[in-house]
Parts: sequence; C-alpha cells; structure tokens
Amino acid sequence: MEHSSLTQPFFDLVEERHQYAREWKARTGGKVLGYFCTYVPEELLYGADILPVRIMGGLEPADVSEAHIASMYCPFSRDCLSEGLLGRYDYLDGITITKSCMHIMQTFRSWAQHIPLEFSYFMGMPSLVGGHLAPKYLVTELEGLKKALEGWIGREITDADIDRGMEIVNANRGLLRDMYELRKPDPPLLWGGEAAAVVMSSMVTDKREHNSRLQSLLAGLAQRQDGPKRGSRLMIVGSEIQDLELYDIIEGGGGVVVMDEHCFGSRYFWNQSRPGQDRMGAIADRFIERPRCPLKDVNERVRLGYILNLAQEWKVDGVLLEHQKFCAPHEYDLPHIKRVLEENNIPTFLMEMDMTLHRGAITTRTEAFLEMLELDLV
Amino acid sequence: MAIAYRTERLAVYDKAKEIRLKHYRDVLAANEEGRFLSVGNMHAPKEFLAAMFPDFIHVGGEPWAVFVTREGEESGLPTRAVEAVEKHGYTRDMCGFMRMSWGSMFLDESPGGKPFPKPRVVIATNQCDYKGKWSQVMSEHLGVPFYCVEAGNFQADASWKPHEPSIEYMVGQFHDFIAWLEKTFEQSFDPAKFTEIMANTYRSRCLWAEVIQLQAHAPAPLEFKLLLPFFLSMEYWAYKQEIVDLLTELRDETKDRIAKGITPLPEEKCRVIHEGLPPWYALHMFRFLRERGIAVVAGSNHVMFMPSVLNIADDGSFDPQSPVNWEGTPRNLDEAIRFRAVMQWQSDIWGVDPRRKTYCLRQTLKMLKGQGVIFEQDRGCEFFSVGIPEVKRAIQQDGYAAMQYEANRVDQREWSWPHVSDAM
Ligand code: SF4
Ligand code: SF4
Repeated sequence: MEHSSLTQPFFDLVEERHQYAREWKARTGGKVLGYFCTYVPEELLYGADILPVRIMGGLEPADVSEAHIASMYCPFSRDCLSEGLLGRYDYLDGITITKSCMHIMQTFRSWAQHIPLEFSYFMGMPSLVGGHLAPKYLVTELEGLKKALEGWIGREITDADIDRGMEIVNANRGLLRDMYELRKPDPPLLWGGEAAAVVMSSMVTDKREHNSRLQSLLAGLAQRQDGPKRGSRLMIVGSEIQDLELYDIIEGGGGVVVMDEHCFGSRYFWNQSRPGQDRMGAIADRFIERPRCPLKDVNERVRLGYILNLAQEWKVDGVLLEHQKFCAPHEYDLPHIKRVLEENNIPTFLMEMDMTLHRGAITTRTEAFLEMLELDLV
Repeated sequence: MAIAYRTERLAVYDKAKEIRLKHYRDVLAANEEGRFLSVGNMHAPKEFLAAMFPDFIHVGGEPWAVFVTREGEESGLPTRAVEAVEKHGYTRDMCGFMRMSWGSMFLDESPGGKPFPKPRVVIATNQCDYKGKWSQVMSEHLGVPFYCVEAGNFQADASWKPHEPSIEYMVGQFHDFIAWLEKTFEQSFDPAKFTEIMANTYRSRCLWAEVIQLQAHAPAPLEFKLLLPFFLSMEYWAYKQEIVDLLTELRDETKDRIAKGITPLPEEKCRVIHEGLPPWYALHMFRFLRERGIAVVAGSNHVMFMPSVLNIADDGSFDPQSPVNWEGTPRNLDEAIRFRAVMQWQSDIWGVDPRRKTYCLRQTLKMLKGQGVIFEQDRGCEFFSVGIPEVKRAIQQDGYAAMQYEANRVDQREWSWPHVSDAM
C-alpha cells in the first residue's frame, strides 16, 4: 500500500530499524538494549542514555529457533529468537525482560544463553498487580535493575537522570495519545496502519527524535486532505500484532481501524508515570495502573470493562480478536472479551495468527466480516 | 552373563494407592457430608485452610484432571470434557490439565456420574501462565470467592538460593491470605496448627529426599511408576501426618529392599531418567521399558523438591546426595510461613529456566547414575516443556543418551503409542 508523505517516514523507521540503531550507536557512542515485552521501565533506560529497542520478529518462516524452542510455543516468541540467532540484532549490547509469559521468557533465556552480550537482566514483575503489596515489591525489583544498569554503564543513574528519562518517554506517550484522539472523528484523520507504524517506530527510535517527528505529524494531520474515507470502524484486540500488512488487508477491504488494544499498539504507551520525589514509586505505579495484559488480569477482571469502554468511546462497529497460535494468555481471555462485546452489540471476529500471514484466508474472512457490518450499518 | 535380581511387590504401594482412592471417595461425598472443600491448583496454599477447618479437603485441578482421564473413561467423560471446553470458545492448544478439569466443571460431572464437587473457595498459586486464570474461571463459573498468590520473580539462572524480595513478597501475601480467610469465613486461624502442618510438610520432603537418594543404589530398589502415587501424596497432602507415616514406611521398606537385593526389574540393563510427567493413560510404557531391562529411576521433578531440605551453597548450588537437613523443620509461625514461601518459589522456578532445569537434571543423573534421559515434550503443558530442546542438547553434549517423545498428558487425541514405542 502506498503511504502518505506524512506517515511514510514512520513506516521507513520500522522497516529500517536495524540500520537506524546501528547509526544511532555510531553517532552517539551509546549502548542499545533490546527488550521483549512492553513491561520495561524505559524511563530508567533513557535516564541512563541507553537506547531501548523492542525486539520484533522477522515475519518470515525461519527454522533456526526450532533447536531451541519447541513448536508448541507461540510463533512470535520463536520468530524473535530466530532474528537474534540470524544475527539481525548484532548491534545490541544487552537484553532485558520483566517476568512475562513462559513463551517470551524462553526466548529471552535462549538468547542470553546463545548470543554473547555484555548485559542481560531478568526483572521480576508482579502479575497480581491489584494487590496492595505489588507496588512495594515492584520498587525493589526496579532498584535491582537500576543497580545492574549502573554497574553496566559505569556511572550512577541520578534523580536528575530519571527525571529527564521520564520527561522524554512521557512526552512520547502523551503525543501518541493525542494521535489516538485523531482517530475518534468519523472518518478518522489517519489509517489504522499508519497509527500502528507510528507506535511501532516509537519502540525502535530515539524518543527525542520521535517526539519531534510526532509533533510535525500531528500538525500535518490537522490539515490533512488525503485521509481515510468513511468505512466500518474497527478495533483490534490481541497480542503481538507487528505485521503491518494486516492493516493493508483490512483497510484495503473497506474498513478502517480506529482503535486497538494490543502490545504493539495502545497497551504500550497508554499511561504516563507521574513525576515527583518518589521516582521509582512513580514508575512502579505506572506499571500497576497501565492497561493490563491478560497475564496481569487475574484476581479481578479489569480488562473486559476497559476494552468495552475503548470500543464505545472510539465508536467502533466491530472488533477483530487476534491471538497468536499457542498463546495461552490471550486464548483464555478471548472468549470472555467476545462475550462482553457481543452482549453490548459489538460484533467480533476471531483471527489466529501464525509466523506469516495467510493472506488469502484473512482477506476472505475479513471481507465477509466487513460485509456483515455494512449490512448492519444500512 | 546378566544377573537376575529378586523382584517383589512394594508392600507400601497399595497403601499409597488406597490413600489416593480414599481421597476421591471423600471428595465425591464432601458436599453431602457438609465438609469444607476448596478447589484450585495442586500447589495452592491449602495448608492455611487445613489449619482452620478440621474437615477440610482440597481438590487440586491437576490430579482431578488425571482422575477424570483415568476413571471417567468408561462413560466417555474425558472426550466430552475437552469438547465442552471447546464449546465455551477455548482453543485446543491450551493446558490439558486445565481443560480436563474445566470440562468436568462445565458438564457438572465427575467420574461415576456424580456432579462436580462444589467448593466454598477457589485458591491458587500463579505459577505458570495458566494457574491463576484457570482458577479465576472456576471461581466465576462456580460463583465462589477466589484468592491467588504469586512469586514475582523467576530469576534467570541456575541458582537455587531464595530470591529474598520474592520471598518477602510471598510472605506478605500469605499474611494477607490469613486475614482474608478469617474475614471471609469468620473462622480464626490457628498458628500452632499451621506450624505443625508445615513441619509435617518439611518432614515429608526430608523423607522424600532420603527415598530419592536411596534410588542411587544399583540395582535401583524402586522405579518411576512405583514412585507415582507417593509423588502425588507428597505433592498433594505432604502436610498430613498420614503422609509422613506413609513416606517413613516407604523409606524403611526401600532400605529393606536394598538390604535384601529386591528390585522392580529382574534385570537392570541400563538406568534412565524420565523428564516430565508421563501421560496417565499410557503408563503401560513403563512395563514396556521394564520388560527390556530399562530402569526408569526417577525424574528431575523428583529432585526439585530436595533443595528445600538440603543446604544450598552461597553460589546457589546444592548437592542432592548431601545429608538431609532435619534441623530445618519449622518451629514457629514465621518459620512456617517462610518455608511455605521458599518451597513455593523453588518449585515455580524449576520449570521456567532451562539452565536451572539442566542443572537439576545433571545433578539427578549424577546422583542416580543415570545413563540417559527420556524427555516428554508435553503439548498440553508449557511449564514442564519449557526449554526441553535446550536441556536435551546440554545433556547430549555431556555424553548422555537422550530421546524425546511428544504427548499430551490428558488429551489422548494427541497420542500415538506406535510412534513412541518405536522411538523408545
Ligand atoms: S503472543 Fe502470547 S504467548 Fe506469545 S509472547 Fe505474546 S503473550 Fe506470550
Ligand atoms: S501448563 Fe502445566 S504446569 Fe501449568 S497448569 Fe497446565 S499442567 Fe500445570
């Protein structure tokens, strides 16, 4: 799909992410740290002058991970490891992860075991984020990471550093939220695929640079003439939707994705940490309060109401419920999300993703879903 | 010339089986008898309830799934159960144990035709990706209160040294749990009783460790299949005096077997480890191996209980052959709660890091003089299957023989004995 000149640079950043990181290193002399899950305290990393980059899959069949992770684990976790083993991330100085699902934790562990790096750090993370003990425990874990980072970079991460890091990442989060507001009008001011490229590029670009690009984008969008036309308004709920071609299929078929709740979308940036004297407490609180991944929605279900609210606020006509094959965390939530949405007259459509997109099948099924929505709209 | 050993039945085996059968009879009668029932995962913090309700019974989802698989076969319950779960919109690739126990709950049917036991509470430890959610769905479906606890860190290395922030976090959650139980059920918690319960758990683990150490003897006095009902008792009811007595008897009889040269195999041609839990509908595989002189001596899941009763060195290593530390038996509430947290954390971390699993397996092989490993890659359990390719490669690099078979512990639709037996 051809992209508007407004958003093309963001697609380029995603496409050329490895080159970007190499150039960033050469330019700044700084360290690049790969991470596997959105629960990572980027405030601390920016404060330490480290560039955090989200590790993504290559979206191509690769069997190099087979000797390390069995095929019963999700395609995303295997794809990410393949990328590492194939040397695509040879510029990384370190990797980190917080306690997450068994699938991606395995990727982290195999990576740490087989790809030599200066730094690899596993940080604990509560799943029972609603418990009153979780924030205090999380602060202990954050302190542990901070200490390890200080050992690695050879200097203290001061309060001023953390404040600076917080300011950079909060600004990015705020701008991305502003962009999501522009998806509320009918028609929205940007395509779902464009919004996804902007969010994904923010995961692999120095946020200072990304912030200024985002500011220009927001100004440009306000004047935009070549935006989407009216169509069925869709939301995507799921896990690791990093294949931008999916949006081409959906939006090429007459729909427009106006909202999402997944790890490569709003779940990454939705809330900010509140600056103040208790810096680690603020970072911990942000994790506690952020939109939950299914693994962290255990004692009381917060996700269902949260997703329904987003769908209603962004006035969606239908929701695509995505999951990766073998992804336990999302598979146990999807029947419940489906029920709640449908009880509220929001039709849903289930989509299982593998390493590569089954373009033909997804096109046919998406078209059928869009047709059904169109009929309802009439 | 091969030496033929004396084979004789393990007398205490029938007792272990009887305890298991009695448990299920008790569970099925519990609602009629008005007993306090909880459901959840096997490792759920049931000991706290046991310290409050004298007639308490906990139904662990994993053994319940095995019970449904084995005892419900005649009425076709296992197949109907997993199909019921699929009808609720859940996918087929999810945890086999969970689907089997959910299925029995959704159908409101137990083996033998009685309804699914209705609990007063659902409790869980959030160990793998499933356990918390598994229990959450049960509590919602059954309309009873739910309490879940967790370890926050599965640190990534081979160390067995308790991760103190996680232990402190768990200890705090256990104190909260006590307060919640007292408030929810208007019943007071008995610290002395709880201390004794955890002391029993500790004693059971010590006895278990001694039994596994005795397995080092060649020829081995016991084998994997014989250990199964004891493993279940140890996992499930280790806090009961009855299990301390059972394991004492097992240890003593095992010693006696060694003294008299009694073994389960007439001929021990080689010694292997079974890594993972076997599919319950296919335990005949052990007879197949026995008939060929292959002694399946234990698994690293047997050894993973041992660090909690052995001394762990400062570098996080432990020697499974070192003397069991009976001195560590908890003496007061604080020690009892801490031990509960440490043993939980240690069983959580065993499954999630291939380096730790490899370490544990190497220790097992060394201690038990194993020559090879049979790995079960369980398509229905991501916890036991994590890192199997990494562990297998490491073991092969050490020079051990290794083979792997695929199964799903409870879902027979994914089992092919002709393939597995060929590979064996
Ligand atoms: S898709 Fe699911 S299983 Fe895979 S990494 Fe994400 S949450 Fe884990
Ligand atoms: S995935 Fe394995 S460890 Fe987890 S609940 Fe299922 S059977 Fe138990």
